[in-house]
Amino acid sequence: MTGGGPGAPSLERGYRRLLACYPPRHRRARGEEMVGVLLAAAPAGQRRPTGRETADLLRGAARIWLAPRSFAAPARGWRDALAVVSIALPLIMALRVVAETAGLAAAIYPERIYVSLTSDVVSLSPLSPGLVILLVVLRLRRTAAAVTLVLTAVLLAQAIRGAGAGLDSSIAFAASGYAVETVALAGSAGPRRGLRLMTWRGIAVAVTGTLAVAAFCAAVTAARMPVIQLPGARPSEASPSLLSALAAAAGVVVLAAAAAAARSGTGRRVLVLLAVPGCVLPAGLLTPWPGTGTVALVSYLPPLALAAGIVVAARRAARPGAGRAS
Amino acid sequence: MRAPAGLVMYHQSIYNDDMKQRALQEPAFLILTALAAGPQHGYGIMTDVAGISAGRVQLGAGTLYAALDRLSTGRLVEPDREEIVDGRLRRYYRLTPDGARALAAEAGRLRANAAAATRRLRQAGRLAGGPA
Repeated sequence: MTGGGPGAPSLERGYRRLLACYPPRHRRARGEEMVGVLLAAAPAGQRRPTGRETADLLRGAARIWLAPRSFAAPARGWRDALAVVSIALPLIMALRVVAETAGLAAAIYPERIYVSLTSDVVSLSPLSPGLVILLVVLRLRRTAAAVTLVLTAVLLAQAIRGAGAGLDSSIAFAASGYAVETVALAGSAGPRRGLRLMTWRGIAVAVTGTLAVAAFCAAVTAARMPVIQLPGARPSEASPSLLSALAAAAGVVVLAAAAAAARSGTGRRVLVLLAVPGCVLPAGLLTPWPGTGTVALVSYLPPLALAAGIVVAARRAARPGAGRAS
Repeated sequence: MRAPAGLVMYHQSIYNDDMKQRALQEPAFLILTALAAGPQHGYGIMTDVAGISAGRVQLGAGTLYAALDRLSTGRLVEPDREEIVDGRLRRYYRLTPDGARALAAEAGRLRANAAAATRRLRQAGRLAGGPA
Protein backbone atom coordinates (compact mmCIF):
# COMPACT_ATOMS: atom_id res chain seq x y z
CA MET A 1 0.00 0.00 0.00
CA THR A 2 1.21 3.44 -0.85
CA GLY A 3 -1.39 5.63 0.79
CA GLY A 4 -1.35 8.42 -1.75
CA GLY A 5 1.59 10.43 -0.35
CA PRO A 6 1.65 14.22 0.00
CA GLY A 7 -1.16 14.76 -2.49
CA ALA A 8 -3.51 12.55 -0.45
CA PRO A 9 -5.93 15.24 0.90
CA SER A 10 -6.82 16.57 -2.56
CA LEU A 11 -6.81 13.05 -3.95
CA GLU A 12 -9.19 11.91 -1.20
CA ARG A 13 -11.49 14.86 -1.94
CA GLY A 14 -11.49 13.88 -5.61
CA TYR A 15 -12.42 10.30 -4.78
CA ARG A 16 -15.16 11.44 -2.41
CA ARG A 17 -16.61 13.70 -5.12
CA LEU A 18 -16.78 10.70 -7.45
CA LEU A 19 -18.28 8.50 -4.74
CA ALA A 20 -21.09 11.07 -4.43
CA CYS A 21 -22.40 9.51 -7.65
CA TYR A 22 -23.15 6.27 -5.78
CA PRO A 23 -26.54 5.51 -4.17
CA PRO A 24 -26.67 6.89 -0.60
CA ARG A 25 -27.26 3.38 0.75
CA HIS A 26 -24.06 2.19 -0.92
CA ARG A 27 -22.07 5.22 0.25
CA ARG A 28 -23.16 4.63 3.84
CA ALA A 29 -22.26 0.95 3.71
CA ARG A 30 -19.04 1.01 1.68
CA GLY A 31 -17.98 4.63 1.10
CA GLU A 32 -15.19 4.80 3.69
CA GLU A 33 -13.98 1.35 2.73
CA MET A 34 -13.79 2.36 -0.95
CA VAL A 35 -11.88 5.55 -0.14
CA GLY A 36 -9.38 3.42 1.78
CA VAL A 37 -8.96 1.01 -1.13
CA LEU A 38 -8.64 3.82 -3.69
CA LEU A 39 -5.98 5.61 -1.63
CA ALA A 40 -4.15 2.35 -1.03
CA ALA A 41 -4.07 1.60 -4.76
CA ALA A 42 -2.97 5.12 -5.77
CA PRO A 43 0.73 5.56 -6.52
CA ALA A 44 2.66 7.93 -4.27
CA GLY A 45 2.35 11.56 -5.33
CA GLN A 46 -0.90 11.18 -7.22
CA ARG A 47 -2.93 14.35 -6.67
CA ARG A 48 -6.24 13.64 -8.37
CA PRO A 49 -8.19 10.66 -9.71
CA THR A 50 -6.98 9.49 -13.10
CA GLY A 51 -9.28 9.31 -16.10
CA ARG A 52 -9.33 5.53 -15.84
CA GLU A 53 -10.28 5.64 -12.16
CA THR A 54 -12.99 8.21 -12.87
CA ALA A 55 -14.47 6.09 -15.66
CA ASP A 56 -14.29 2.95 -13.52
CA LEU A 57 -15.99 4.60 -10.54
CA LEU A 58 -18.72 6.15 -12.68
CA ARG A 59 -19.31 2.80 -14.40
CA GLY A 60 -19.48 1.08 -11.01
CA ALA A 61 -21.94 3.70 -9.72
CA ALA A 62 -24.15 3.20 -12.79
CA ARG A 63 -24.14 -0.57 -12.29
CA ILE A 64 -25.18 -0.26 -8.66
CA TRP A 65 -27.86 2.34 -9.43
CA LEU A 66 -29.26 0.15 -12.20
CA ALA A 67 -29.23 -3.03 -10.15
CA PRO A 68 -32.92 -3.94 -9.57
CA ARG A 69 -32.78 -3.60 -5.80
CA SER A 70 -31.40 -0.05 -6.03
CA PHE A 71 -34.26 0.98 -8.28
CA ALA A 72 -36.93 -0.17 -5.91
CA ALA A 73 -36.56 -1.32 -2.34
CA PRO A 74 -33.36 -2.92 -1.15
CA ALA A 75 -35.04 -4.48 1.87
CA ARG A 76 -35.98 -8.10 1.23
CA GLY A 77 -39.59 -7.68 2.41
CA TRP A 78 -40.28 -4.93 -0.12
CA ARG A 79 -38.52 -6.82 -2.91
CA ASP A 80 -40.65 -9.87 -2.20
CA ALA A 81 -43.78 -7.73 -2.05
CA LEU A 82 -42.91 -6.19 -5.42
CA ALA A 83 -42.36 -9.68 -6.86
CA VAL A 84 -45.88 -10.70 -5.78
CA VAL A 85 -47.33 -7.44 -7.10
CA SER A 86 -45.57 -7.90 -10.48
CA ILE A 87 -47.72 -10.93 -11.21
CA ALA A 88 -50.82 -10.12 -9.13
CA LEU A 89 -51.45 -6.56 -10.32
CA PRO A 90 -51.99 -7.21 -14.07
CA LEU A 91 -54.31 -10.09 -13.14
CA ILE A 92 -56.23 -7.81 -10.76
CA MET A 93 -56.43 -5.06 -13.40
CA ALA A 94 -57.77 -7.47 -16.01
CA LEU A 95 -60.28 -8.95 -13.54
CA ARG A 96 -61.42 -5.49 -12.43
CA VAL A 97 -62.04 -4.36 -16.03
CA VAL A 98 -64.03 -7.51 -16.85
CA ALA A 99 -66.01 -7.38 -13.58
CA GLU A 100 -66.75 -3.65 -13.79
CA THR A 101 -67.79 -3.87 -17.44
CA ALA A 102 -70.08 -6.80 -16.59
CA GLY A 103 -71.46 -4.84 -13.63
CA LEU A 104 -72.11 -1.79 -15.84
CA ALA A 105 -73.79 -3.95 -18.47
CA ALA A 106 -76.03 -5.42 -15.75
CA ALA A 107 -76.88 -1.92 -14.53
CA ILE A 108 -77.98 -0.63 -17.91
CA TYR A 109 -81.72 -0.23 -17.98
CA PRO A 110 -83.43 -0.95 -21.28
CA GLU A 111 -84.51 2.66 -21.64
CA ARG A 112 -81.04 4.14 -21.09
CA ILE A 113 -78.11 4.26 -23.46
CA TYR A 114 -74.72 4.96 -22.03
CA VAL A 115 -72.33 7.07 -24.00
CA SER A 116 -68.55 7.23 -23.87
CA LEU A 117 -68.41 3.87 -22.16
CA THR A 118 -65.83 2.51 -24.56
CA SER A 119 -64.14 5.76 -25.50
CA ASP A 120 -61.12 4.92 -23.39
CA VAL A 121 -59.83 1.61 -24.68
CA VAL A 122 -56.60 1.70 -22.70
CA SER A 123 -58.08 1.95 -19.22
CA LEU A 124 -61.30 0.08 -19.94
CA SER A 125 -60.07 -2.79 -22.08
CA PRO A 126 -58.75 -6.04 -20.61
CA LEU A 127 -56.40 -6.19 -23.61
CA SER A 128 -53.76 -3.94 -22.01
CA PRO A 129 -53.34 -5.94 -18.77
CA GLY A 130 -53.74 -9.07 -20.93
CA LEU A 131 -50.72 -8.03 -23.00
CA VAL A 132 -48.69 -7.47 -19.83
CA ILE A 133 -49.73 -10.89 -18.50
CA LEU A 134 -48.74 -12.52 -21.82
CA LEU A 135 -45.30 -10.88 -21.77
CA VAL A 136 -44.82 -11.93 -18.14
CA VAL A 137 -45.80 -15.53 -19.00
CA LEU A 138 -43.32 -15.47 -21.91
CA ARG A 139 -40.69 -14.30 -19.39
CA LEU A 140 -40.14 -11.05 -21.29
CA ARG A 141 -39.91 -9.04 -18.09
CA ARG A 142 -38.02 -6.04 -19.50
CA THR A 143 -40.36 -5.81 -22.48
CA ALA A 144 -43.32 -5.97 -20.10
CA ALA A 145 -41.79 -3.17 -17.99
CA ALA A 146 -41.29 -1.05 -21.13
CA VAL A 147 -44.91 -1.67 -22.17
CA THR A 148 -46.29 -0.71 -18.75
CA LEU A 149 -44.12 2.42 -18.76
CA VAL A 150 -45.55 3.43 -22.15
CA LEU A 151 -49.11 2.68 -20.96
CA THR A 152 -48.52 4.86 -17.89
CA ALA A 153 -47.31 7.73 -20.07
CA VAL A 154 -50.25 7.38 -22.48
CA LEU A 155 -52.79 7.38 -19.65
CA LEU A 156 -51.17 10.31 -17.87
CA ALA A 157 -51.17 12.30 -21.11
CA GLN A 158 -54.85 11.42 -21.51
CA ALA A 159 -55.60 12.55 -17.95
CA ILE A 160 -53.73 15.83 -18.40
CA ARG A 161 -55.66 16.52 -21.59
CA GLY A 162 -58.84 15.89 -19.62
CA ALA A 163 -60.01 13.47 -22.27
CA GLY A 164 -61.34 10.92 -19.87
CA ALA A 165 -64.95 11.48 -20.86
CA GLY A 166 -65.99 11.19 -17.23
CA LEU A 167 -64.01 8.00 -16.58
CA ASP A 168 -61.25 9.77 -14.69
CA SER A 169 -61.04 7.30 -11.83
CA SER A 170 -60.67 4.44 -14.33
CA ILE A 171 -57.84 6.23 -16.08
CA ALA A 172 -56.19 7.20 -12.80
CA PHE A 173 -56.49 3.60 -11.56
CA ALA A 174 -54.95 2.20 -14.75
CA ALA A 175 -52.18 4.84 -14.84
CA SER A 176 -51.28 4.26 -11.16
CA GLY A 177 -51.52 0.50 -11.67
CA TYR A 178 -49.17 0.46 -14.65
CA ALA A 179 -46.74 2.78 -12.81
CA VAL A 180 -46.64 0.39 -9.84
CA GLU A 181 -46.32 -2.57 -12.23
CA THR A 182 -43.33 -0.92 -13.94
CA VAL A 183 -41.58 -0.51 -10.59
CA ALA A 184 -42.54 -4.06 -9.55
CA LEU A 185 -41.19 -5.61 -12.78
CA ALA A 186 -37.97 -3.60 -12.69
CA GLY A 187 -37.36 -3.65 -8.96
CA SER A 188 -37.99 -7.21 -7.88
CA ALA A 189 -36.74 -10.72 -8.53
CA GLY A 190 -39.68 -11.01 -10.94
CA PRO A 191 -43.03 -12.70 -11.43
CA ARG A 192 -41.57 -16.21 -11.09
CA ARG A 193 -40.62 -15.51 -7.51
CA GLY A 194 -43.93 -13.73 -6.98
CA LEU A 195 -45.81 -16.83 -8.13
CA ARG A 196 -43.86 -18.99 -5.68
CA LEU A 197 -44.68 -16.62 -2.84
CA MET A 198 -48.40 -16.45 -3.54
CA THR A 199 -50.79 -18.65 -1.62
CA TRP A 200 -54.37 -19.68 -2.30
CA ARG A 201 -55.43 -17.59 0.67
CA GLY A 202 -53.80 -14.50 -0.82
CA ILE A 203 -55.33 -15.18 -4.24
CA ALA A 204 -58.78 -15.56 -2.64
CA VAL A 205 -58.39 -12.22 -0.80
CA ALA A 206 -57.27 -10.48 -4.02
CA VAL A 207 -60.10 -11.90 -6.13
CA THR A 208 -62.77 -11.14 -3.50
CA GLY A 209 -61.47 -7.60 -2.96
CA THR A 210 -61.26 -6.88 -6.69
CA LEU A 211 -64.77 -8.16 -7.36
CA ALA A 212 -66.21 -6.16 -4.43
CA VAL A 213 -64.52 -2.92 -5.50
CA ALA A 214 -65.46 -3.48 -9.16
CA ALA A 215 -69.12 -4.10 -8.26
CA PHE A 216 -69.38 -0.90 -6.23
CA CYS A 217 -67.51 1.11 -8.87
CA ALA A 218 -69.86 -0.22 -11.55
CA ALA A 219 -72.88 0.80 -9.47
CA VAL A 220 -71.54 4.30 -8.86
CA THR A 221 -70.38 4.78 -12.44
CA ALA A 222 -73.77 3.62 -13.74
CA ALA A 223 -75.47 6.31 -11.64
CA ARG A 224 -73.05 9.02 -12.76
CA MET A 225 -72.57 8.18 -16.43
CA PRO A 226 -73.93 10.57 -19.03
CA VAL A 227 -76.98 9.04 -20.62
CA ILE A 228 -79.17 9.73 -23.56
CA GLN A 229 -82.58 9.82 -21.98
CA LEU A 230 -85.02 8.11 -24.29
CA PRO A 231 -88.63 9.31 -24.44
CA GLY A 232 -90.70 7.86 -21.62
CA ALA A 233 -87.69 6.78 -19.59
CA ARG A 234 -87.68 7.31 -15.86
CA PRO A 235 -84.79 9.36 -14.43
CA SER A 236 -82.27 7.47 -12.37
CA GLU A 237 -83.27 7.04 -8.75
CA ALA A 238 -79.78 6.28 -7.59
CA SER A 239 -78.00 8.90 -5.53
CA PRO A 240 -74.39 9.32 -6.69
CA SER A 241 -73.27 10.80 -3.37
CA LEU A 242 -74.73 7.88 -1.39
CA LEU A 243 -73.22 5.35 -3.78
CA SER A 244 -69.87 7.14 -3.63
CA ALA A 245 -69.88 6.96 0.13
CA LEU A 246 -70.83 3.29 -0.04
CA ALA A 247 -68.02 2.63 -2.52
CA ALA A 248 -65.49 4.37 -0.31
CA ALA A 249 -66.75 2.46 2.73
CA ALA A 250 -66.60 -0.81 0.80
CA GLY A 251 -63.04 -0.08 -0.23
CA VAL A 252 -62.01 0.61 3.37
CA VAL A 253 -63.75 -2.56 4.60
CA VAL A 254 -62.15 -4.71 1.90
CA LEU A 255 -58.68 -3.30 2.61
CA ALA A 256 -59.13 -3.67 6.38
CA ALA A 257 -60.30 -7.27 5.95
CA ALA A 258 -57.40 -8.00 3.62
CA ALA A 259 -54.92 -6.40 6.02
CA ALA A 260 -56.32 -8.54 8.84
CA ALA A 261 -56.03 -11.63 6.64
CA ALA A 262 -52.40 -10.92 5.76
CA ARG A 263 -50.40 -12.14 8.70
CA SER A 264 -46.92 -11.66 7.30
CA GLY A 265 -44.99 -8.43 6.83
CA THR A 266 -44.56 -9.08 3.12
CA GLY A 267 -48.28 -9.74 2.76
CA ARG A 268 -49.06 -6.39 4.36
CA ARG A 269 -46.54 -4.70 2.05
CA VAL A 270 -48.28 -6.29 -0.94
CA LEU A 271 -51.55 -4.76 0.22
CA VAL A 272 -49.96 -1.34 0.68
CA LEU A 273 -48.51 -1.51 -2.85
CA LEU A 274 -51.85 -2.62 -4.30
CA ALA A 275 -53.53 0.23 -2.41
CA VAL A 276 -51.58 2.75 -4.56
CA PRO A 277 -53.85 2.21 -7.58
CA GLY A 278 -56.68 0.97 -5.33
CA CYS A 279 -57.06 4.22 -3.39
CA VAL A 280 -57.73 6.05 -6.65
CA LEU A 281 -61.14 4.47 -7.06
CA PRO A 282 -62.98 5.78 -3.98
CA ALA A 283 -61.08 9.08 -4.19
CA GLY A 284 -61.93 9.46 -7.87
CA LEU A 285 -65.55 8.57 -7.33
CA LEU A 286 -65.87 11.19 -4.61
CA THR A 287 -64.56 14.03 -6.80
CA PRO A 288 -67.12 16.19 -8.61
CA TRP A 289 -68.29 14.74 -11.88
CA PRO A 290 -67.52 15.20 -14.72
CA GLY A 291 -64.06 15.70 -13.29
CA THR A 292 -61.92 16.77 -16.18
CA GLY A 293 -58.88 19.03 -16.06
CA THR A 294 -57.49 20.06 -12.68
CA VAL A 295 -60.26 18.34 -10.73
CA ALA A 296 -59.53 15.03 -12.47
CA LEU A 297 -55.87 15.27 -11.50
CA VAL A 298 -56.91 15.37 -7.82
CA SER A 299 -57.46 11.62 -8.24
CA TYR A 300 -53.69 11.22 -8.50
CA LEU A 301 -52.94 12.81 -5.13
CA PRO A 302 -53.79 9.80 -2.89
CA PRO A 303 -51.67 7.33 -4.92
CA LEU A 304 -48.81 9.83 -5.13
CA ALA A 305 -48.94 10.43 -1.36
CA LEU A 306 -49.07 6.69 -0.67
CA ALA A 307 -46.23 5.98 -3.13
CA ALA A 308 -44.10 8.65 -1.44
CA GLY A 309 -44.82 7.04 1.94
CA ILE A 310 -43.79 3.63 0.59
CA VAL A 311 -40.50 5.02 -0.76
CA VAL A 312 -39.74 6.59 2.64
CA ALA A 313 -40.61 3.34 4.46
CA ALA A 314 -38.51 1.27 2.06
CA ARG A 315 -35.52 3.57 2.43
CA ARG A 316 -35.78 3.42 6.22
CA ALA A 317 -35.96 -0.37 6.03
CA ALA A 318 -32.84 -0.36 3.88
CA ARG A 319 -30.70 1.53 6.39
CA PRO A 320 -27.94 -0.52 7.97
CA GLY A 321 -29.23 -2.24 11.07
CA ALA A 322 -32.87 -1.71 10.12
CA GLY A 323 -33.27 -5.01 8.23
CA ARG A 324 -35.57 -7.53 9.80
CA ALA A 325 -36.86 -10.84 8.56
CA SER A 326 -40.48 -10.50 7.59
CA MET B 1 -38.29 -18.51 11.00
CA ARG B 2 -41.87 -19.15 11.99
CA ALA B 3 -44.03 -21.33 9.77
CA PRO B 4 -45.37 -19.35 6.79
CA ALA B 5 -48.79 -17.86 7.25
CA GLY B 6 -51.07 -15.43 5.50
CA LEU B 7 -50.44 -14.08 2.08
CA VAL B 8 -46.89 -15.16 1.44
CA MET B 9 -44.43 -17.93 2.08
CA TYR B 10 -40.71 -17.37 2.43
CA HIS B 11 -38.10 -19.54 0.78
CA GLN B 12 -34.55 -18.26 1.13
CA SER B 13 -33.22 -20.74 -1.43
CA ILE B 14 -35.48 -19.35 -4.15
CA TYR B 15 -34.21 -15.82 -3.65
CA ASN B 16 -30.88 -16.36 -5.35
CA ASP B 17 -31.65 -19.06 -7.88
CA ASP B 18 -30.98 -16.79 -10.84
CA MET B 19 -27.66 -15.63 -9.41
CA LYS B 20 -26.39 -19.15 -8.83
CA GLN B 21 -27.52 -20.58 -12.17
CA ARG B 22 -26.18 -17.76 -14.34
CA ALA B 23 -22.62 -17.93 -15.70
CA LEU B 24 -20.25 -15.76 -13.68
CA GLN B 25 -18.61 -12.80 -15.39
CA GLU B 26 -14.83 -12.82 -15.35
CA PRO B 27 -14.34 -10.21 -12.58
CA ALA B 28 -16.80 -12.09 -10.36
CA PHE B 29 -15.10 -15.41 -11.13
CA LEU B 30 -11.68 -13.99 -10.29
CA ILE B 31 -12.94 -12.36 -7.08
CA LEU B 32 -14.44 -15.66 -5.92
CA THR B 33 -11.18 -17.39 -6.87
CA ALA B 34 -9.22 -14.85 -4.80
CA LEU B 35 -11.50 -15.44 -1.81
CA ALA B 36 -11.34 -19.23 -2.18
CA ALA B 37 -7.98 -19.21 -0.39
CA GLY B 38 -9.35 -17.25 2.58
CA PRO B 39 -10.87 -13.91 3.60
CA GLN B 40 -9.35 -10.81 2.03
CA HIS B 41 -9.97 -7.06 2.11
CA GLY B 42 -10.76 -4.96 -0.97
CA TYR B 43 -7.20 -3.93 -1.82
CA GLY B 44 -6.00 -7.50 -1.19
CA ILE B 45 -8.60 -8.83 -3.64
CA MET B 46 -7.49 -6.31 -6.29
CA THR B 47 -3.84 -7.29 -6.08
CA ASP B 48 -4.66 -11.01 -5.86
CA VAL B 49 -6.88 -10.86 -8.97
CA ALA B 50 -4.05 -9.16 -10.87
CA GLY B 51 -1.75 -11.98 -9.76
CA ILE B 52 -4.20 -14.79 -10.60
CA SER B 53 -4.76 -13.39 -14.10
CA ALA B 54 -1.02 -12.78 -14.61
CA GLY B 55 -1.66 -9.04 -14.80
CA ARG B 56 -4.30 -9.33 -17.54
CA VAL B 57 -7.17 -8.20 -15.31
CA GLN B 58 -6.59 -5.05 -13.24
CA LEU B 59 -9.75 -4.46 -11.23
CA GLY B 60 -10.59 -0.85 -10.45
CA ALA B 61 -12.35 -0.04 -7.19
CA GLY B 62 -15.57 0.77 -9.06
CA THR B 63 -15.62 -2.62 -10.80
CA LEU B 64 -14.57 -4.44 -7.63
CA TYR B 65 -17.31 -2.96 -5.45
CA ALA B 66 -20.02 -3.28 -8.11
CA ALA B 67 -19.09 -6.98 -8.32
CA LEU B 68 -18.92 -7.35 -4.52
CA ASP B 69 -22.33 -5.68 -4.24
CA ARG B 70 -23.81 -8.16 -6.70
CA LEU B 71 -22.05 -11.15 -5.12
CA SER B 72 -23.23 -10.07 -1.65
CA THR B 73 -26.80 -9.74 -2.90
CA GLY B 74 -26.53 -13.25 -4.31
CA ARG B 75 -25.06 -14.41 -0.99
CA LEU B 76 -21.96 -15.77 -2.70
CA VAL B 77 -19.68 -13.62 -0.50
CA GLU B 78 -20.20 -12.01 2.88
CA PRO B 79 -18.29 -9.69 5.22
CA ASP B 80 -15.86 -11.56 7.46
CA ARG B 81 -14.51 -8.89 9.80
CA GLU B 82 -13.49 -5.23 9.93
CA GLU B 83 -10.25 -3.58 10.96
CA ILE B 84 -9.09 0.00 11.27
CA VAL B 85 -5.62 0.39 9.75
CA ASP B 86 -3.98 3.84 9.68
CA GLY B 87 -7.37 5.35 10.50
CA ARG B 88 -8.99 3.66 7.48
CA LEU B 89 -11.75 1.07 7.55
CA ARG B 90 -10.69 -2.24 6.10
CA ARG B 91 -13.43 -4.83 5.61
CA TYR B 92 -12.60 -8.45 4.88
CA TYR B 93 -14.83 -10.62 2.72
CA ARG B 94 -15.13 -14.38 2.65
CA LEU B 95 -16.62 -16.97 0.35
CA THR B 96 -19.94 -18.44 1.51
CA PRO B 97 -20.78 -22.14 1.00
CA ASP B 98 -23.05 -21.03 -1.88
CA GLY B 99 -20.16 -19.01 -3.29
CA ALA B 100 -17.87 -22.03 -3.16
CA ARG B 101 -20.49 -24.13 -4.96
CA ALA B 102 -20.98 -21.43 -7.61
CA LEU B 103 -17.21 -21.15 -8.13
CA ALA B 104 -16.84 -24.94 -8.41
CA ALA B 105 -19.73 -25.10 -10.90
CA GLU B 106 -18.25 -22.29 -12.99
CA ALA B 107 -14.79 -23.88 -12.91
CA GLY B 108 -16.35 -27.14 -14.11
CA ARG B 109 -18.20 -25.35 -16.87
CA LEU B 110 -15.05 -23.55 -18.04
CA ARG B 111 -13.08 -26.82 -17.85
CA ALA B 112 -15.68 -28.60 -19.99
CA ASN B 113 -15.70 -25.74 -22.53
CA ALA B 114 -11.91 -25.71 -22.67
CA ALA B 115 -11.83 -29.49 -23.13
CA ALA B 116 -14.36 -29.26 -25.98
CA ALA B 117 -12.36 -26.49 -27.66
CA THR B 118 -9.13 -28.44 -27.31
CA ARG B 119 -10.76 -31.61 -28.69
CA ARG B 120 -12.16 -29.80 -31.74
CA LEU B 121 -8.87 -28.05 -32.47
CA ARG B 122 -7.01 -31.33 -32.15
CA GLN B 123 -9.44 -33.05 -34.51
CA ALA B 124 -8.94 -30.23 -37.02
CA GLY B 125 -5.18 -30.45 -36.61
CA ARG B 126 -4.98 -26.81 -35.56
CA LEU B 127 -3.74 -27.26 -32.04
CA ALA B 128 -0.09 -26.44 -31.64
CA GLY B 129 1.64 -29.64 -30.51
CA GLY B 130 -1.31 -31.82 -31.58
CA PRO B 131 -1.42 -34.45 -34.34
CA ALA B 132 -1.22 -33.01 -37.83
